[in-house]
Amino acid sequence: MSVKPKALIPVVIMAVAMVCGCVDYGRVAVDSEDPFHGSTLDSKDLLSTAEKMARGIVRIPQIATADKPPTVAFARVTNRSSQPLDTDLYLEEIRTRLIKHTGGKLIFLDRARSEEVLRERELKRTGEVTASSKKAVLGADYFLTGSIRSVDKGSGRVRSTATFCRFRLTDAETMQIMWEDSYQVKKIGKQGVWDR
Amino acid sequence: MDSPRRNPRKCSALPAVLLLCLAAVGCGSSARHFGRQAFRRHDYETAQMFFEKNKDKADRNFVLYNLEWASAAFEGGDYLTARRALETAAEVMRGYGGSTEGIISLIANESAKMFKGDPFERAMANFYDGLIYYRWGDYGNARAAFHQALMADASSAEDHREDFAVAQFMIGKCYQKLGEPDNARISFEKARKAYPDNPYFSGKALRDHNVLIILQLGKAPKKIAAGPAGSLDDRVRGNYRETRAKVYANRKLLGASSCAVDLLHQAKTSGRTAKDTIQAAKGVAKTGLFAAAAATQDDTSAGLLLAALLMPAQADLRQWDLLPGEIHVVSAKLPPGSYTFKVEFFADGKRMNDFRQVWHYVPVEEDRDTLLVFRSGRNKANGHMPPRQNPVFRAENDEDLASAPQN
Repeated sequence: MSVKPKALIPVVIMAVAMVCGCVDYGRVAVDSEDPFHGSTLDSKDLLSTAEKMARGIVRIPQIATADKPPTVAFARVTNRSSQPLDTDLYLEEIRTRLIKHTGGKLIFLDRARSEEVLRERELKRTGEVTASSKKAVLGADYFLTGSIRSVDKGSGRVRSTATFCRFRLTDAETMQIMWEDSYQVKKIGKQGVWDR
Repeated sequence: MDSPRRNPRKCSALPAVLLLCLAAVGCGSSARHFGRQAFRRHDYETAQMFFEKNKDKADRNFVLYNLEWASAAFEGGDYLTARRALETAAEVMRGYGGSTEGIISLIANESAKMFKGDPFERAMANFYDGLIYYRWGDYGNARAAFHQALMADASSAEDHREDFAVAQFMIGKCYQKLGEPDNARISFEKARKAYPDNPYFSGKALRDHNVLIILQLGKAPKKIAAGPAGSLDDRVRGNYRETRAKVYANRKLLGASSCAVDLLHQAKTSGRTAKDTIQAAKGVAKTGLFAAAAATQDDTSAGLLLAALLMPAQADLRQWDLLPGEIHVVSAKLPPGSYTFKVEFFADGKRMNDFRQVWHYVPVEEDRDTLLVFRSGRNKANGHMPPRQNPVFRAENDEDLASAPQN
């Protein structure tokens, strides 16, 4: 029995399609769900956390009714969860929202750039570079800090992770905690039979 | 009856299309092949270059491509790239996607599913991630990564769920750095439970140590087909001989290595799951069809044979074969300064001279731990002339090289 060449064409087309694979790319919103679902924090959690914290800080009476905009510096966020995280990203996202929505009611200090700023000030004062003005370095009225923790449980193919992102504003003079809030999320996942 | 005359023009496109298909398949495969060759001869920069070609290929081997890229970057000291590749792979390994491919793999060949690695491979991906964070002094994230390694191992067989001792040990080290001695003690105790003879798993001894050496010995356990019609996978030890190492700093013995995890043991204690039951059933069915084809004497025999041949039951033999076979540790205290480190490897108590490594100008820092990661390999960082170029020595094969007289 001979096979007509025409009959092979669909087979070849299928083979090419399989070899090339089903490629699927596209731009999606930052706060959309990830297609590969996991029990760990994702971009949607980051944005939700930042949004909630920023709204909470703006409503603090000491900030809302302050005569002079208070100054805020970052302190280290400790990661005590089961997931490696860029904790600075959380603080930066909170800061971005606060700067955008408070219209100058808060002043943030860029302590990460301390070395460069102090060097530049030194050059200005020795006359090596021009200086349009000379100002004092601002001290912090408050520190924004926090911790991220999780409770993990697993049995067979099922795993659950409850993550607690807690942030607080601490008075830099008195160590009093002026404000604290947390974002909590629990995710449960079950692996497929094929995934062990 | 004569067959109809074929129109040559209608057939001429077919070979070209088939060649295109082969080329499309071949490109990715050859990059991996050349990458592995470069890796095995310790040319990690070249290996990285080849593996990077596949890193964005979104097919069922996506995780494997990124793990191989991560291996080359890690061994070459490009930790930023290694972290990126490991994070990319780990997101998919930890996730619950790939269900379409997974369902297909239950019916067709197991390798149709998205590769996510065995528990010990997932654990190793997180372990490497943790080592990078530890090296950077980010002990919080390092602890989290080592914890993920333990969680990956948690899906192993019931009695072997907390025996990825090197991760327990590193969690203990992180807790020491984070100023949590009680948590550190608990982690060291868990590590000691799996490897009671490892002298470095004693927390008290480590408190003042500032140099931690991780030694990767040998080759990854090899995955082989087993069970009915090769439907199940099993592991055998990789082809290597080194079983121990000694580390010297400025010619003084720093310590002898002690095993912190044996990846073959981890592979063998991964345990069987429902997936393996389904695979075994497919294998038994395939074997049954062959037997039926052999037993049948009539026209149905050919059909049964064809069915047996076409029935997909093959186990998934994909693996992250750039892993080592064992991880050993050495821990010590050294004053800050610049050192020459020499690493000697031993097989059956005998020194393997062509495996000796010498590393000059290695800094030991003042304000934080120095983490060094070494990997065994022939003629790596020792300036030995490759044996096949040595005018004095000629060998027929690698066995002869190993037993050749050494100076």
